[in-house]
Amino acid sequence: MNIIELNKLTKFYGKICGIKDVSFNVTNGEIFGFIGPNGAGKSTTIRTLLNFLFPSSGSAKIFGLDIVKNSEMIKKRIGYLPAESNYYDNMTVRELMDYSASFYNIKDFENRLKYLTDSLDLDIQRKINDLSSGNKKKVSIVQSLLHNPDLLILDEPTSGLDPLVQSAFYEILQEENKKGVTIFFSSHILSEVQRICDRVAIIRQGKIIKVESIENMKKNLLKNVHISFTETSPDCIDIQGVVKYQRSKKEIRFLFDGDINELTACLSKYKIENIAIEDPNLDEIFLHFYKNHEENNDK
Amino acid sequence: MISNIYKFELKRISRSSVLWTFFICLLIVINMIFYREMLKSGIVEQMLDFMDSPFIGDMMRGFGVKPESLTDALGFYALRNTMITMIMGSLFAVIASSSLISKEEYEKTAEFLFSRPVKRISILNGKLLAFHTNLLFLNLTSSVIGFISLEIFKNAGYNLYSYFVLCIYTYLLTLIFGSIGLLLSLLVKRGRVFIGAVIGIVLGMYFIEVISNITPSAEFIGYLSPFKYADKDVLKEGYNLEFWKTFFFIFGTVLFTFISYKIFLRKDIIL
Repeated sequence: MNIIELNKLTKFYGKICGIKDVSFNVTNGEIFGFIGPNGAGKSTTIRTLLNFLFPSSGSAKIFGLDIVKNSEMIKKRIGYLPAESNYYDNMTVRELMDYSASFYNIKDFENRLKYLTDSLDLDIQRKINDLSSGNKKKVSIVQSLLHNPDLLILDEPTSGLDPLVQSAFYEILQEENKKGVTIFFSSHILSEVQRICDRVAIIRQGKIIKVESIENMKKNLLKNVHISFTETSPDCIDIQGVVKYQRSKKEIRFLFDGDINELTACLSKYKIENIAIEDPNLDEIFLHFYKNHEENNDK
Repeated sequence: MISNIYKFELKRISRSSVLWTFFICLLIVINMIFYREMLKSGIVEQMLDFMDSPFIGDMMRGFGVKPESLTDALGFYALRNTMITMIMGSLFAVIASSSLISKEEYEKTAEFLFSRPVKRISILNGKLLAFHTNLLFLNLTSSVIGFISLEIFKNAGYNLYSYFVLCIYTYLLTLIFGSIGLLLSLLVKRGRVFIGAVIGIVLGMYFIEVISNITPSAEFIGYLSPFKYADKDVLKEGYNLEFWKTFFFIFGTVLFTFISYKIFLRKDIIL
C-alpha cells in the first residue's frame, strides 16, 4: 500500500520552476530517502505535500487522500520535522508541547513526552529562545513525534545535532519504523540517507532523476578500483566501463561499471602489487547520476 | 478547533493591546487635565483671538478647531482626544491585523502552525477573533476612561449620547483600518515586516482629511480617507450616526475581510 503518491506534481513560483513533474510512491513502513543539493526542490516538494503551497499542476495523495482537499485529515497522522526550528517568542518547551498537543486532542501524552525528552536529553522547562540551535532541533524532533504519527516527514533532520544526539535520533527513528511508521527522509547528506533508508529518490533542479533501492544503486553502479603495480602503471585500461581514470607512476584509480571478468582478464597482463575494488559511496553515485542526467539532457 | 488558536493569539496580541490602551488612556486623562488648566488660566481667550487671523484660523479649522470646541468639555474631548483615540486606535488596528499572518511567515513559525491538523479557515477565524477581542477591549476601555475623565473635568453638562456616537465612529474607524491591514498583509507575496508602510497609510489618510478640510477646492480628496467618514463634529445640531457613513465603514470592513479570506485560503505560504 502506498502511503505517499506523487503524480507529476509541479510547482511554479511565478515563472520560476520549483519542482516539475515529480512522481514517486512511498510504501507503507518504508524509510524513503529524498536527496538532492540545496535548492533542488526538496523543501518545495514537502511544503506542497503539506499544503503550505498549492500545486501548479499534477496531484499527490497521502494515505490515499488528496493533499489539497483533505489536508487537515492528512496532517492528523503526520509528524513534520522542518529544516529550521522556529518557534514563538517567550514560550517554554513545555508550553509549545501543550499547544501542539491541543491540535491533536491528545490528553495523556506525559509518558510519551518524558520518553522523547529523556532520549534526547531535553529540558522542557527552558524557554525556546534561550536554547542552542541543536536543542531547538531536539524540540522540533519531539513535537514531530509527540502525537504518535503514522508518517514522519523529516526535512534535513540531523542538521545542528551532535553525533551522540544523531545516534539517539536514529535509534528513535528505527524504533518508530519497527512500530510501522513510514518515514520520508529528506537530506543533502548522503551518508545519513545511506545509513537508514530503504529506497531513495534523487532530485535535481526540480526534477526526479532516479528512484532506486539503496542496495540496487550500490550493486549496479560504479565500483571504485585502486591498483598498485610493481612496475610502471599502464597509460590506460582499454576496456568498456572505465570512468575517471587517474594515473600516477605506479598506481591507477578509476571508477568501473563494466564486466568485472573483463577487468580481471585485462589486469592479468600486469604485475600487480595490490588491488582494491570497493563499493562506491553515495557521493560518487550522486555525482554519477547527475553527470548521466546532464549528458542525457545535452543529447 | 479555533479555541486553542484563539486563546494563544489572544495572549500574544494582548501584550501590545494593553500597552496601546494604557497610553491612549493616559493621553486622554492628560488632555482633560490640560483642558481644566486652559480654562483656569485664560489661554482659551487668547486662542479664540488666533481663530480670527486668516492663515492660522484656517489651519485651526482644518484640524477641526471651533471656538466652542475650546470651551465645551465634549467639544474639547472631540478635538484633542478623538485625534488620539482615532489615530492611535487605527495604528494599533492596522499593525496588529497586518501581523496576524505575515508575522507567522517572516518569523517562520508558520511552519509549525500550518503543519498542524487545522483548516486554514479556522486559523484565520481564531486569529481574527482574537484581534477583534483586543480591538474591542481597546475601544471599550478608552471609551470608559474618556467618559470618566469627562465626568471629572467637565465644567458644564454635555450630551452623553453624542459622546456615545463619537465612540462608535472611533470603533468603526479602527475596524476598517484593521481590515485594510489584514488585506494588505495578504497581498504581499512573502510575509514581510511592513509596519512602517501601514503606519504611513494611517497617517497619510489622516493628513488627506486635514488637507481636504483646509482647502475647499480639495475637499473631494477627503472622501478617499476613512477619517472623513468618522464624524467628529459632536457639537453640531442633530449629531448622530449617519446611515451612509456607518454603511461605508461596515461595508468596507466586511468587503476587505471577505477578500482577505478569499486570498488566504489560496495563498502560498512561502518561508
